[in-house]
Amino acid sequence: MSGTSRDALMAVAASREIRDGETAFIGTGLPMVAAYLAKATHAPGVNLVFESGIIDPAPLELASGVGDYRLAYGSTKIAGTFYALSLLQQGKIDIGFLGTAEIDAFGNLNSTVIGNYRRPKVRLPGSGGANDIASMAKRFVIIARADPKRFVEKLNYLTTPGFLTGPGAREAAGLPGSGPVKVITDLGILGFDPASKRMRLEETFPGISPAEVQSAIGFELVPYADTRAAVAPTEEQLDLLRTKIDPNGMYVKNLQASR
Amino acid sequence: MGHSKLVSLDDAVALVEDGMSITAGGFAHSHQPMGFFRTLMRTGRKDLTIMGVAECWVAEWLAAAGMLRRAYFSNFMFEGFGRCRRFSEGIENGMIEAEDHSHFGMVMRLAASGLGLPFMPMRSQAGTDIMNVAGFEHPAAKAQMFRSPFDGTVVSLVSPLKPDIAVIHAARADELGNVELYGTTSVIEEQVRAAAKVIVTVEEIVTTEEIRRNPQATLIPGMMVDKLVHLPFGAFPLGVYGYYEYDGAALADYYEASRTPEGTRVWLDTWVHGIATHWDYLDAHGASRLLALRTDPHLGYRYDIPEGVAR
Amino acid sequence: MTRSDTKHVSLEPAVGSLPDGAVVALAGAAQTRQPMAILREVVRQKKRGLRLVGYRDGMDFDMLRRAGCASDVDVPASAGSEEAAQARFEAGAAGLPYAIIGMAGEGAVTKAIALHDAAGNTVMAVPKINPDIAILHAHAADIHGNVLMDLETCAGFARDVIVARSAARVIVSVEQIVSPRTVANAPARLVLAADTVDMVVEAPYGAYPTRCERRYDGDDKALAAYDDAARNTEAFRQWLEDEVDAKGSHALYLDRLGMERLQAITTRRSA
Repeated sequence: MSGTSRDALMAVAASREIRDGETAFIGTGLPMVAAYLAKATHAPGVNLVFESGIIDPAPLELASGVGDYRLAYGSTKIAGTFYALSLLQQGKIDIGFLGTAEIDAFGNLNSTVIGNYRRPKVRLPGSGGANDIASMAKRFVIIARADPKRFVEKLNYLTTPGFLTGPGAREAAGLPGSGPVKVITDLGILGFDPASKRMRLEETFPGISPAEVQSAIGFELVPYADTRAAVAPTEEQLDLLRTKIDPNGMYVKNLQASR
Repeated sequence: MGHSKLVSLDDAVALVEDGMSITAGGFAHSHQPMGFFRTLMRTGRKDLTIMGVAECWVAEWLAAAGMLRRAYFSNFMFEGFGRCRRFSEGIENGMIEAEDHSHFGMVMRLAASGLGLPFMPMRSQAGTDIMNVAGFEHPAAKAQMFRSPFDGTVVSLVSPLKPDIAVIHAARADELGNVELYGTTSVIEEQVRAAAKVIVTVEEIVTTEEIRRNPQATLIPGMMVDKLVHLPFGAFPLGVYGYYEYDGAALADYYEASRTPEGTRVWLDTWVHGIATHWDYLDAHGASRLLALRTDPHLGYRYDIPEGVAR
Repeated sequence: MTRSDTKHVSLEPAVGSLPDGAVVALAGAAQTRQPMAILREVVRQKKRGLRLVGYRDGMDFDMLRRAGCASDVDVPASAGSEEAAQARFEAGAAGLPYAIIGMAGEGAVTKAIALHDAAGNTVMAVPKINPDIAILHAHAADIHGNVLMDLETCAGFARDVIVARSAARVIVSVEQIVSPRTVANAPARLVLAADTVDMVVEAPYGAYPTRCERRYDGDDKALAAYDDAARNTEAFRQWLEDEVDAKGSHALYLDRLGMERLQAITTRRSA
């Protein structure tokens, strides 16, 4: 399995987070690939919801984004943004997936600015549905490549809530969801220490040592005794990715290339 | 029998004055009323405020034309391309002021206005810099934490946003302004309810009989619409569900040009200021190119005719 | 689906397959769904000696005749003879040598002959037509050759179906090529099954300047301009040069017409 592409490892790891029968809130890119992989394997009953207002679609080909008309095909309901987002607030969404520009040790995310808010060095796209998903999905998963510029000690701006300032902070803010459960990177999978709510390394990908992961993270990871090797993707999963779900490599690049 | 809401595009655009706040329908590369905004961009209106959610092309082109002063919004980003450069750089160099929200935050502020309420309770945005860091609004004027008087649940309250004008591009309408839209409806219902005035541009005009035959397809009843414009390909180069997909080459062309202020200026001269009417703009691309974007009536997207060797 | 399983051909090679001297039937009706995009290409490719047949006259037959593409045009001279002409195609489609159109003494009909039976009846019959090629214009088709018309227009397309069935080969131009799933989802709209059709050409506004029901009206200005041009040889030559540009394609033709003009005649763009 050492030749499996990083994208494929991340997509498979993300798909494993989805349990059968759940309702998942899905965005563009690897989350879409992960969702359809889960649906095709261990979670055939997963109900997919998209922020564009599409519910339970059956697209014939992989959509380029949540706004792609291909995604709407075969959906059981087509509504608006309010409908999709209010499902989060009601607690109907079991799991969401988010990408990010910056992330800190508590799983808080920044997609707003680098530098000062009013005169930023770099203006980023903004929250979109990210803050809503992180605040209100029952749980959520972050997908982000490991990089000290991305995993930072202090965010330039806190767009999207992980555990905010630490234990009890989400509850004080009245956020209904329980917060982030996993951070899937290209080097391995991180989780959160239950006591401090800070990130810790839980699984490593093939050929990657815990030290390598720490050197790609800009803050100190909480020590964790049970760090183990991630379960390898199965041939069936890789085959599905390659032949059915993302045959053109739109999001899962270099399916058989090594890092 | 009510009176016709039909007006010319120029007459509809004339409703927009300097300093007004505008909200536009659509999302991603879909449904935004670009025909209306291209015409607006030729009028030299300025100091506009956008109250948006994710209508990236409207925000970006208004920014490119130097017409945008302020933005209440959630997320402006070109799916499949990258960032909205003119908008982003406008904020970076202080020409445009931003007030950030989550998607739901913007939807709820518009909904508060549309429901005639002084605030809407909601549960996201709390605890983050969206609530705590000031843009051009004082944080307390935008959102405040609140404890329910009934059971003590912690929520946040957001204040209403009332745009002066909502501009929506839709599928069909009758002359009374009863509007049908296919596919996802983004934030259109909330935008229409919130705005003081509503302008709708549509691909087709149909009879009232046709509307009456299928009332559940009506997204916006005529009573909510002030002005109606018959504007075929009114979202082009973006798409309209049930009619045509977006023109990737035209979008890529803008995206490339937007790398620099100079490239943007040339693009504006070519595609906005150098073109007199909506029909001229369409013909500058060519009828055959536009017709090639048509969606398959069952699939809902453009059918790629597979190649083969005919006998 | 294998690579050779498509009947989709672009306009140029589709018309290229038409041999000089072929017996060609044109479907469509009076100022309605005449396959003008295909026929402009026929003129552009300078086809010669075509023997045209039809159940009504029209701008399409007239244009080919004046442009020198047709050596013979067999269409009813008047509206009264149209039924007999249709009967000839029905006979051809049914594989019969004749179609009986009435009793003797009901009035003279071109090409009709008298037939006598053992019981002493004398009936009038017209000989079958089996064209080499039938050319039609319709709403939609998939690449297999399944042709769809809007439900409301299926009944009116019945004569076109008969013309198609009478012919050895069928070329159909359509407003839009759709996916096979779209065809499978609209069984009531299927007017011609794939096995009847040999080639499908995508030509939006392919009947222009004639009308296409539930899509666009005829362009009265353009039809009047044709009538003017048909007055004399020089006017027609000029019209041909302007309308059927030697370097032109259907796409360029549409670009030159422009969106405003096309939208002005368009009556419906949605289902």
